[in-house]
Amino acid sequence: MTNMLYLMADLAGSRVAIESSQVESIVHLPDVVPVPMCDPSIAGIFALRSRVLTLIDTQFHITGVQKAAHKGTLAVVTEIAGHQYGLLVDKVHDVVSIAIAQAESNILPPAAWNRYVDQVATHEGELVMILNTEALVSGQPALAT
Amino acid sequence: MDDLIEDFIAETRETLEALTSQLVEWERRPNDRALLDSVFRFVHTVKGSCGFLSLPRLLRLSHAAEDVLSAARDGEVDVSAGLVTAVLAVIDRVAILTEALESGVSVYDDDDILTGALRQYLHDKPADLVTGPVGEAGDALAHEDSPLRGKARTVRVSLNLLDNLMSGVSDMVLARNEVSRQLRKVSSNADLDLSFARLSSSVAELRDAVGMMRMQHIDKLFSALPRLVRDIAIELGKEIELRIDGSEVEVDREMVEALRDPLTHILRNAADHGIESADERRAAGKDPVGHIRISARQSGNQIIIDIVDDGRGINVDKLGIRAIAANVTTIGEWQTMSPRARLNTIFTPGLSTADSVTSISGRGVGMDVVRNNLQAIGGTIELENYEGHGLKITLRLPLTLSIIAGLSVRAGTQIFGIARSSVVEMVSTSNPNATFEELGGRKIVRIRNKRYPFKSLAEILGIAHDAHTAGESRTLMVMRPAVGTTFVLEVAAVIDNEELVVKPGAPLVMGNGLFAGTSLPDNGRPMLLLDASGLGTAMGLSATDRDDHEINIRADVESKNNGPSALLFIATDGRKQGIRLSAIERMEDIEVTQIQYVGGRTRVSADGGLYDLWEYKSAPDDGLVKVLKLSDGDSACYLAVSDVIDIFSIAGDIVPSAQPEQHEGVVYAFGEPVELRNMFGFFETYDRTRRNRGSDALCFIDCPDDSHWERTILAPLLTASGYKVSFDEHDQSRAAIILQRDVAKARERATDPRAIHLRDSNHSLNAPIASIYRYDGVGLISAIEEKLAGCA
Repeated sequence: MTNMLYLMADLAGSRVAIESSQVESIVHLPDVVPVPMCDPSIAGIFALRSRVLTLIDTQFHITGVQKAAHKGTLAVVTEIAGHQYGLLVDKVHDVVSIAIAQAESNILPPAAWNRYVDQVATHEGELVMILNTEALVSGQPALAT
Repeated sequence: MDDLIEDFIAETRETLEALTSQLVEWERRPNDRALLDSVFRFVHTVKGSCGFLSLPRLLRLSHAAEDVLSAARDGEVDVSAGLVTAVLAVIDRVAILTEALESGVSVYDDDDILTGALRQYLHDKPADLVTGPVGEAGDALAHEDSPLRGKARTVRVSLNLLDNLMSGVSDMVLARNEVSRQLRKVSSNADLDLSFARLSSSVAELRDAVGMMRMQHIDKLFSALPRLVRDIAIELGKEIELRIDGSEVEVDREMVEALRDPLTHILRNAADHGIESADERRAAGKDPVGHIRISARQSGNQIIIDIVDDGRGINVDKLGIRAIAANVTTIGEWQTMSPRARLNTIFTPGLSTADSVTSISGRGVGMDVVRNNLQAIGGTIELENYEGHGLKITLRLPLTLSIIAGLSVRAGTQIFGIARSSVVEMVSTSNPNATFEELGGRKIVRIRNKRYPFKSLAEILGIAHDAHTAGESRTLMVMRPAVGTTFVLEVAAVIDNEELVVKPGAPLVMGNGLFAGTSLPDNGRPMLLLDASGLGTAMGLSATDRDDHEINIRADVESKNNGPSALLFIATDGRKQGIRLSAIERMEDIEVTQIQYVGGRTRVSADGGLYDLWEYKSAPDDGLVKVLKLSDGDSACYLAVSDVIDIFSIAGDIVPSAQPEQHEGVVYAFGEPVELRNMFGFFETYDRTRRNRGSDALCFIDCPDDSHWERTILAPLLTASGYKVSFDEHDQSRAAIILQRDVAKARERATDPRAIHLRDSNHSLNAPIASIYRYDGVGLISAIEEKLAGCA
């Protein structure tokens, strides 16, 4: 039974956890430049120092409603398959330790979340969904399912 | 232990790369001791390391090779082609096994066949040498040799670390730019500005140095080629000699990888189809040995690689028959094609002139793939065909993959970048040469009698345009993508002309095919780079190259009927004038702060150099001066203009001018007579200094060490006139001119035709020897010139 560190965040109104080793940093967005004619889950591109990152509209994946990305909105920076992405989140909380044994195997996340959630765990008596960040940027739009 | 093995793998791999070309050379000159030694040394080192690391297979192989090579060194065995092949086979296996060590793949063990092949050459040797204990022969030599090999000192660094360093430096450059912006706002503190300038220049140096780290000798790519050609030649039973020039040219690391396949392919083609068999060559009166020459050179920001063979060239008629048979073209089309367009059909997929498919080439997947590969990295390929005598293939490649010359353009409110290489020309919508038409709903624009499909960028990208108010001028860009039809793109404005650092985009962003990547300009706002071919496809244009010959035809027609192109502009004195387009490198806006009056003329400091600026009258309000950058191929200068109007072609005769030094003549542009500027005057001054510099004659000044006048007045005068100056006695013998003030010395040298005596007085009456007054600069220089002319 191992304890892993997770970043707790709010996303589309729900509490989620992202494994901390996947989180490179948390930033307030600078200017976001929209990318025309591309997948609706892309909120745009933004600069982080000398790098250009792709901003994922995580909320669109869940609710199908695009979220406007303003300057100053919070994003979680993560690297997937050699590219860096920002994941839009509503709010970030603490980094906490969750034991895998605490995972609730018999509770399934709601259908809209199912593709993006690895498992459901409890933290301080509350249920949290552990996000699979790779699914969010897999390039398969939620519309296809 | 793992570390040791890793080191062994890396070292073996590196030595192998360096060795490949030597191996082939060795075959040609089997008795070259130095080559034999280096092959032996390699095998010996491998053997030694393997014994230490207990790698039995590698040990057996290298031991067998070492035995044979050692015998060859002692002259007991003749080095034949067969022996070389056997040794190469072993070295190949060593390479495979070394790679396998790293990847953990198992390699089928038929090493006995290889070592057996080697032992044949030792048949008359006592058996115990063949199977004898490891490491007797040659040990002494290897020991004394290995430390002596002079090598540039290098350190092996992981690519990741290098990339981190790169991005760190880019961060630093951005931060510097930001600081510089902030400083400009607040500071007028000279000390601070000075320290910042120092920081800034060291950051720039650092960036250049890091940029160099990404560069590699193109030799890395070329070193494998001799072996390749050798193997093909042996397989085909031809004799081919490969010559490689310019191995020291440096290219981007990624470029080396990207070039490997196309170059290999071209070489295979040349060796297989290009070079004839020895009999055929003899019959054609050629040297029975085929020659292939590869040369690389850097020209500006391009790398140019020529691959020249002296084979049979491309049989264009045969190509035509194939092309017609394959429905690539029709007989009628073929007949109207220009020779160049005919030749270029070789790039059509599935077309080959090879009669037979060999194991090496001729399967019809050929030149089209080569061209696509090159275009993918921003390169081009050109053919020069000499039927019966050979083929010259020229590859032009950008210096690096990561920086492109780009334009930033605006669509709606958003800025996009685009590679300048895909833009043919830009025309304003207000230009009377551009007219709009419609064909069944598709918009067409006509620019100087040529029609192009047309769409606005905002429309393609689905960006809300700003209301298109009548009379507002927008910019039309004629785009010629690497693949696909030429078309016209309308943008709201062209913002800037800059070097863009290309960063790859995430797959999701690149997925729609419209973008080539992203870039981060100095303002810190990321920018999407447009992909010209993708835009064409999005406009519903076919992605084939059908208009390739159309362009060629057009170019042919243009050169026949229309004469050269010229640019119509308004000079700073308000008059309309023309200037030949070929002399213009580019148009740009420069800041007034870049302009200075120094050294007796107005100059612009740009791109780290100082250039003459002509006809600059006054600073405009916005602080930006429109200039044309002119180039004669070697040197450049700027010409200030009030505005640029359009391009026209010089048709009809050029009416002679009354002032030929200023105007070449008078030509008609859009029905109006305008003066065509004479380029000569702009470059004349430049050439004068260059010509002088070329003379390089050495002047030896004979004077005491402490003489002030010679050092501070005479030497600079001579240097400025383009002569080299020396005060060193040792240079006296090879000097072209000797100058002195000392009368005694002048007497000594009375018979030396090189000597010129300088006198202190203005009057020459009392002087015993012919002399020149030391402040008569003009007289001195002409005396030197006379002497030099006399010598010649």
